[in-house]
Amino acid sequence: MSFDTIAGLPGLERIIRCDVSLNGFSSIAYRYATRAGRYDGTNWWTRRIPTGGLGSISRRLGRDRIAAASTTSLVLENADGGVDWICGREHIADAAAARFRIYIGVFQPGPNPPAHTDIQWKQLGEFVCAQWPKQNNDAVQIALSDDFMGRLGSGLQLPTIADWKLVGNTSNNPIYSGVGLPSTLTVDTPLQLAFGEDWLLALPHIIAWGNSGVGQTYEAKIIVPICATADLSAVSQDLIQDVRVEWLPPPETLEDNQRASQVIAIQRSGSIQDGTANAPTTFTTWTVEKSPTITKGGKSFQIVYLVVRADLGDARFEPVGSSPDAAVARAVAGRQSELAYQGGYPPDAVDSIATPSPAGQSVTFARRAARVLRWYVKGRFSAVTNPPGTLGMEHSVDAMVDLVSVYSSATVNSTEAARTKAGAPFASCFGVVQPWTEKANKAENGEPLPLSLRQVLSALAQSSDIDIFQDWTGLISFASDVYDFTIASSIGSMLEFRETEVRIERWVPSAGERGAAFNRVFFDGGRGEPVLGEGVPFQGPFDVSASDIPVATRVVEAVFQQGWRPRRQQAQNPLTWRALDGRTRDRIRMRTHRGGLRLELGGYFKVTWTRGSSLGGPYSGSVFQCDGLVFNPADDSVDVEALWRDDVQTERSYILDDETLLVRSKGGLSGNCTENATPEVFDFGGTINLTTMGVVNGDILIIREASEAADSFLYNRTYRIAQVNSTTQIEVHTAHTETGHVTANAEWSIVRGATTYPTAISDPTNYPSGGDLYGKVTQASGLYSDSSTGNRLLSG
Amino acid sequence: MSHGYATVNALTGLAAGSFTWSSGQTAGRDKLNDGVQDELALGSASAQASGQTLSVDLGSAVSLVGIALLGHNLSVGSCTVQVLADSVNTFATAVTAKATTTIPTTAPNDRDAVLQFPAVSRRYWRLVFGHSGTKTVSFGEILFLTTITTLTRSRAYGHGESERYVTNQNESSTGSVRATLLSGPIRTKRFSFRDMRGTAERDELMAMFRASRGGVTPLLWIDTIESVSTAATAAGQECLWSQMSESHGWTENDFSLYDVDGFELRGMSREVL
Repeated sequence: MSFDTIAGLPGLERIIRCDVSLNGFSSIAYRYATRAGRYDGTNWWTRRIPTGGLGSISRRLGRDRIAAASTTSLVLENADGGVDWICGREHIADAAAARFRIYIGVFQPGPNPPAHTDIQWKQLGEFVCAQWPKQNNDAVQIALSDDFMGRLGSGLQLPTIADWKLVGNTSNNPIYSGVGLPSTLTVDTPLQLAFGEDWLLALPHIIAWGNSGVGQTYEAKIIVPICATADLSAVSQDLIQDVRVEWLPPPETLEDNQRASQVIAIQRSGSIQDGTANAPTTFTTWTVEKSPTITKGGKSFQIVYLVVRADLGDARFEPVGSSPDAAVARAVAGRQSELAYQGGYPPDAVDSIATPSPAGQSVTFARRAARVLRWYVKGRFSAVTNPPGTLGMEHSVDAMVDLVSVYSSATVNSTEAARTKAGAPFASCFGVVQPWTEKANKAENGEPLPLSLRQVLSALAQSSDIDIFQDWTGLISFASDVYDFTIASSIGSMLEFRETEVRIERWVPSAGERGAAFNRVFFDGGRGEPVLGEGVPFQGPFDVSASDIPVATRVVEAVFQQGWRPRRQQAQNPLTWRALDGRTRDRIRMRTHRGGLRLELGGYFKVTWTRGSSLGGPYSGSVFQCDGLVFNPADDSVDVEALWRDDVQTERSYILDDETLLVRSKGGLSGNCTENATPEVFDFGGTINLTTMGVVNGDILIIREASEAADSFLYNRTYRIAQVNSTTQIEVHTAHTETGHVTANAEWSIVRGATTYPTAISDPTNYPSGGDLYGKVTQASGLYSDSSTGNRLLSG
Repeated sequence: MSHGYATVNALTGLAAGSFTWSSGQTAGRDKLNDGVQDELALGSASAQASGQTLSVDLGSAVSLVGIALLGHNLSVGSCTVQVLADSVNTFATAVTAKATTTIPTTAPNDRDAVLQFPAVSRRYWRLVFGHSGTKTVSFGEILFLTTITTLTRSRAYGHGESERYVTNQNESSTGSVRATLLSGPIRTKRFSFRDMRGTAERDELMAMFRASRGGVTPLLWIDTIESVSTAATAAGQECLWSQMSESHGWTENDFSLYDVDGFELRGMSREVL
């Protein structure tokens, strides 16, 4: 028995309880309830929740897929001071740490108090203080919200350049001993997170050199911090596919603001030919590296950065007094103007003016790359969950999972994450998450950067056509409109509410409401690509020809966000990639009993509303998708808001046929299958009666011998039956020539073929009139009817 | 038949260590005198044979006139209770304050019982529980009564009793109602006292109201005064731990004839698991 089993039944008794933890539910610190009880058989839940003490618990999917917080309020009796632990400034640390899990318990009332095991519980969410508690003489009032105003309601805690420097003088910490910082970058600047595969603006570079002093300038490096990552695996050079810089070219006679910047690629390696018979010498221009592990906020990070040659790959400007590669040195000593330069960086991009200075050449190096305005790199860096092995699309759900569970502290409903990801294969993403607000640092022409992780997740969800929310159990979960196998295969067993259980109203949602009808769409938040010199892609309008509202009748517009979409998807017709639904859908709001708590946001259920037999009603077992739930403890009612999705019953996308209905015979028979000496004939021994089985021409004989090698297909194959010769013998279209082979009875079966499928006529029990059969075992052309390679099953 | 009430509990503030179960049970002893019936005190961790006891050390000799067992589970198993008192904790010289009494089993008096007896002053008190088979006795609260105030006049006709369940109800479009039980039954007694001559009897009831402090201090209503050391009758055990309303008054309807406002005693919550 479970809560869902009995929640919809009449005549139940119920209890509300609240568990409070100060350490993320490693342990429970306080236990409160509407009625006292030892609900775990050991500990007492004290009666501190008075009548009306728990406010309505409101949960809903956000309009336009905004990550909406679940909220409620809680009053705890405190006449004895027992809840003082959360009140006032002296207890603010506990108030900040407190997490509340609220449960409803139901049971069948009896003459005696129930055993604690008789009570079926359902968690109604996990909450934190949305506001600090208010205390009066005899009670404490607490406004509660879920993690979208808790763990996910604030910015991320990410490592800074200063953190990087403080991790010690290790071999892979180039900024430990000496660092030159551009004036625009404070040392405490946190790194960003980067997801996806598009161009990313790195942080301003740092000129770093060794401790060996002035004159050892050949140790100088240009360090370009890119982002932080929680992926602590060894760095791969494939992490970055391309590096480009925006630089300010000469002439020097013009002021900076009078010169146009240019974006130029820097190849990973270059080669140099010194004009001799020697082979060209290759050199590496940049490498991608990771910092030592930095621990911050209880999490471990590394910083991904570029190390670029001080001359940006321009071999001609190896500094005097340095110790470059020998071959390069030969080139420098040779005829510079005739060097066969390949790759690297245009020499003018390097500020080659050697400024006279008592400090020597270090000053020259400090001015290296001084013309560079911005660094751009291309790669996905912060992905931890399912990171692409090489540069590739990153799924939005993976990015959201990382943000929620890796870079923040919430826990993800991995089942729903996997399901939503599978159902929305094109929901890939690109973007950066920065703990600061300067939009100028982002390689896009978009809105100011969001501040909180909740806002980041909202933008990501909006662009990806995915909903993100906190489920009943406090896990961060996902939902989409995608009609997937889980939905399709559960239609017959969906929870159904009838009009004896509900009060209902319906309407077509208008603009501004979730699920609003539209027939023309625009997109917002599209990114320009300064790296490529391209502007914001065309963002609409796009007319939805299949809309229920003809454009000719009335144009109904809708705007969708696409800021996190990869640019390649933005640049193409977005309707190709987006899961946008132009169909007009009813929206209903219904009030039902506590059984409504069996629903979950994003879940599907059925509604019947007939309005009486004479008048007729719009819904008879119609399927809806839940996007709002409000539990009202004051009367145990549940308000449900949902969107009509009954088309999932008529527009089937999956093969849902019961394959067992196709089987004529299968295992457990007493007869073996023996290849006859006569070509193309099989004999069956024992008590087999093919006629009784219903075997007819066009059925398929399948032989599966487990002992056969993977590269042999004599006894792992199918045959199309051409004729049933007798009750124990069939003839197939084509057989191989081996004769006399015996296949054990457990390793062969006969199933219906393309021309012998069950229909509403042949099998009215399982295929009612008008029913459809989706999918075929084979084709009428006899695709599997011979032994050619292409027709073999299994490894064939 | 006289009625009475009590508002003072000698167990109030007594430490849990003052209670000793013969089973050795120590968990939950504080629930015996925590002022509410919400949380049960179990006499043992597992069912015990008949004859188990609860001993109480009051710290010094205290004169008691009754003991109330509230929210008990003694209505099942042919249960009896005997009250012993002694000056030493061995109960070697114990007096029987209340002879072995059979606990009523009929609702609504099957969960609460009061045992009244002539005043006995001792430091150590013991309840001895008899029952068939084995049993884990449990109590929501136990009251040791130092005083029972007896009312001179009996209640007038028109008194009565009601029970109430706390529920939530939802009505659908078709009028179908789905209800959820939250708690109950909550027992309420209604009383009226009429045509009392002079002010003395009127003032008795007003004193009872003041003793309850407008419902703030729980009041143990004793339906039938039966202060004897012999076994109690079923009627003599009827009681209701209850609260009065916030206001109360009286009216002089004729010369020196007083009616005190009808009042209700609403039972304290005893919803326990």
